[in-house]
Amino acid sequence: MALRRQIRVGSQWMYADEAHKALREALRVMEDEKLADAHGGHHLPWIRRYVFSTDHKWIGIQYGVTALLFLLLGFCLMILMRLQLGWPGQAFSIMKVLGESRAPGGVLLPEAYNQLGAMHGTIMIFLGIVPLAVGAFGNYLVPLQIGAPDMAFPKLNMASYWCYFPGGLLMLASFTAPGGTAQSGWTSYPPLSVIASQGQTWWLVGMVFLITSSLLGSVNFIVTIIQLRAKGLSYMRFPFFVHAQFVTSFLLLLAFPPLEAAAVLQLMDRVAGTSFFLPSGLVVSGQALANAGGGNPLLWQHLFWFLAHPEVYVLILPAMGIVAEIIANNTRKPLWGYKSMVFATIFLGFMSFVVWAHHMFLTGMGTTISAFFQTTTMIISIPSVIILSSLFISLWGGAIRFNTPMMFALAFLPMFGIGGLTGLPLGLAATDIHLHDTYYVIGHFHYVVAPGTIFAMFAGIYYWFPKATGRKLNEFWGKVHFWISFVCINGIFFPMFAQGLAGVSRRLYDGGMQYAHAKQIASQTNPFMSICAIGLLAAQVPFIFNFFYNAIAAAAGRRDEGLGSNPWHATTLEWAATTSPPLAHGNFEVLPVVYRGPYEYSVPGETAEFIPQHTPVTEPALRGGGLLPATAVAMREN
Amino acid sequence: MTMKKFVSLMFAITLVLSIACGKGKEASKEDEGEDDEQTTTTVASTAATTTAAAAAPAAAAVSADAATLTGLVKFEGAAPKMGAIQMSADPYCQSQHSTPATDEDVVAGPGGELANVFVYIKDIKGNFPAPSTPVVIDQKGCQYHPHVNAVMVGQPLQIKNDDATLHNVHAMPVANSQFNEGQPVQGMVSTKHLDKPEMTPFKIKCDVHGWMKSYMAVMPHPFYSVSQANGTFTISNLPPGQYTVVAWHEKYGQQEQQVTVGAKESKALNFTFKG
Repeated sequence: MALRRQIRVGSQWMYADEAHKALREALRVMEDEKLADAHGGHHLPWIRRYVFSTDHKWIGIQYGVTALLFLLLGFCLMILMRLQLGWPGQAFSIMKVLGESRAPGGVLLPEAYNQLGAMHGTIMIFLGIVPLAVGAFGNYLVPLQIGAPDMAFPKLNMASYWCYFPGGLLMLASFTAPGGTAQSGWTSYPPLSVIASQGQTWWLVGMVFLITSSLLGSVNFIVTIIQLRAKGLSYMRFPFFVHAQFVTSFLLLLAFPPLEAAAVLQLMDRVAGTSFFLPSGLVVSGQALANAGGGNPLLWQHLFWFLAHPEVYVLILPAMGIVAEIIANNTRKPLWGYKSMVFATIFLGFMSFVVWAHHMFLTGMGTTISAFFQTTTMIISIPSVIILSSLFISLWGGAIRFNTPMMFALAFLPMFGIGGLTGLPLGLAATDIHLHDTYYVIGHFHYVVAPGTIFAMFAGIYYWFPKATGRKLNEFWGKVHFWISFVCINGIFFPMFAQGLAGVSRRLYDGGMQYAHAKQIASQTNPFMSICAIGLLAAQVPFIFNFFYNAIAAAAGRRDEGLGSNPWHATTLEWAATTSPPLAHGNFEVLPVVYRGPYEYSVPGETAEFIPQHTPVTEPALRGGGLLPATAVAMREN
Repeated sequence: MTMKKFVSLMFAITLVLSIACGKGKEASKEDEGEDDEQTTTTVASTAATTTAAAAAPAAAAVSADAATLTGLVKFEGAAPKMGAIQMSADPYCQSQHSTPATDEDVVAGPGGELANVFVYIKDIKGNFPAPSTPVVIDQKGCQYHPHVNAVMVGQPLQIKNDDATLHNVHAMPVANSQFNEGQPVQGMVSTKHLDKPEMTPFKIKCDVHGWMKSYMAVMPHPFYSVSQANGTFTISNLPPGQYTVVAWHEKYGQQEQQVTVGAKESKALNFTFKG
């Protein structure tokens, strides 16, 4: 073997091949540093920066844009359903997008209607609102509001989005499955869901992805909120939004696993021949089903609603958090009853685990169990009322700024009020007998989540858009968006109460036209409701343009120069302690220290109209009480 | 975990799940769905569709020696009296009948002539091309017309809704894929292609109107017939040879007879069913 010579590099002796490797590495690092200088921070390759990002802000934006697109898709599915409900059996050329097998000649088929219904619910809840409320707002805002440089587990955060996204794609792909996508409702009750066509299998696999995503996210939120709080940020100094996200994360963590287990069991029933949810002796269309039997369809309902009732609060709590922030900011005064709101939220979180069976009063559980669940249901309405009342009272005496986010936040209050109060008759076993599975139920929960939660989401988007982009959304178009949406959304959902009280069942392909008792009210209300739905779609056009125009302009580097970092004059850390948008890496130049509560607006005796949370508390001016004047002056000078 | 490892892990999970989905496809074959081979084209139109004579087999290449098999199907004893169908659940259906329609399980004439018996040659070999003329099942007055019929493998089967009410066509074949689709609008036509032979008729039903049922066989050859109201059937253009002839009735099961036909021969063959 030839003698290998060593060369000296600095103080180090190396073989030539090693030195060559070191040189290449040095060149790569130099190149990297040059790029980093150009980007004003750490340089990351494009794919790490924009696709597999671990920055909570970018993940929040990824979640937000994806969820908004899914919301639009879910809404479009509903428009197709409303066309059918408004004018049953008529051909619409737009319906042809569903394909000849679902809408031959533009006439929607009943089984396609079922598919649209199941996917509307699934997309809106699991792919739209939860990812928007928790994935987008939670991810973007919680670390900023608690003064943290990022989430506790940035890679887990990324994994959460990258479970959500394929889950969503799988749900979309299920439309191409033989026999179409899932058509057993968003609740997927067996035995129908187990014997349904293949799309249901895709739905279940998609759900496993989505639930995993939520679980990863919730663990991350809990650890982040507990561990990464800024110095001085005690629990009672949290902005209410952080409390809402904190409780929501516990709900996600504890409620989703039963559904994940249930989804896997149903998947086994469908593909592995098990009978977890299939009873013995099941006859389908006159034919006995060849299955092992011994399963229980009600088991699914219990597992499903054990998730899905806490899920309702997953949908509503972040919305309440957003509304609370916006109301405090735009009334320029602290939230009324902040502490009671916080305790109500925590109590609501606990109670949400013991109300699930009020969805199942008609399954023959027995009066004792029904009595228990109707009692807990009545009890859980109390914390909701406390929160809503506190928000209402917070408006009292405020110098309200009626900007677009505030308009949406204000609309949330009565809308959620209607949604919540109409839920009470459903929570009582006796009245539920009449109202169960009617349009009344649809009206009730849509008031909670559509003009309720989704309006709060819009409020949040208008409010925090300048935070994420440095640009404000256009106020005029924002108000156009608000007013048309507000009128139309009530036009859709309010008549549903009348329909439900008249006994019109939900999930009817023709809206009840085939039933003598339902025909009259269906023909009187459905066309109007469908026109309102089209109006609501039209109202989203200004928002879509407003959103994407400004987002693209911001991405192109066109910031609104006069806007400043804190355009709403807010006190919470995300506005007051960092730039808009915040620093790419670490959020804050210096991690803030918190000295104050979250909503120090119009503090009596203070000259500043608002005092950010991280403003140090100055010593009060000594008035010399009990001290000789000379001593007081000396202390002051010291 | 490095980025590469994470990406490969995600890929592996996706792969495993997609395999699971593939298995689901096999397992759910019995489910109501359509497989790829089966094409469905449905048009909403009140325009008249091409009608094919009920139970008339398609014309194959006729040999000069072709024989004809005719016969009579009778019911021995007193045929059961069919009850009136209670259609009041759907006022439209009721309005279509001035006198209540009766069940069609056993349709027998005064002399015991048994209709709706499907008669076919069981064991004939050869390649018989399917005609392009569709076989039509009409849903009219909330009943299927005809009640029993057959289609050749690959021949279009048109199912038409002539009622101004919602029907769903729920076909329950064994060898072919099941399908179940709604026809909400009067004049809608679904066209199906059944691609596997299924000589014992399977049921087609409407889940909206529980009394509606029809039977359909999928034949690899054109040598079949359905007995008419007078109990007669005719199988024509039959090549000379020895065959097993099967007569199938929805309630009374099936019977077989051996028959030999010579060139240009016309042969009679009778079946008798007992209650």
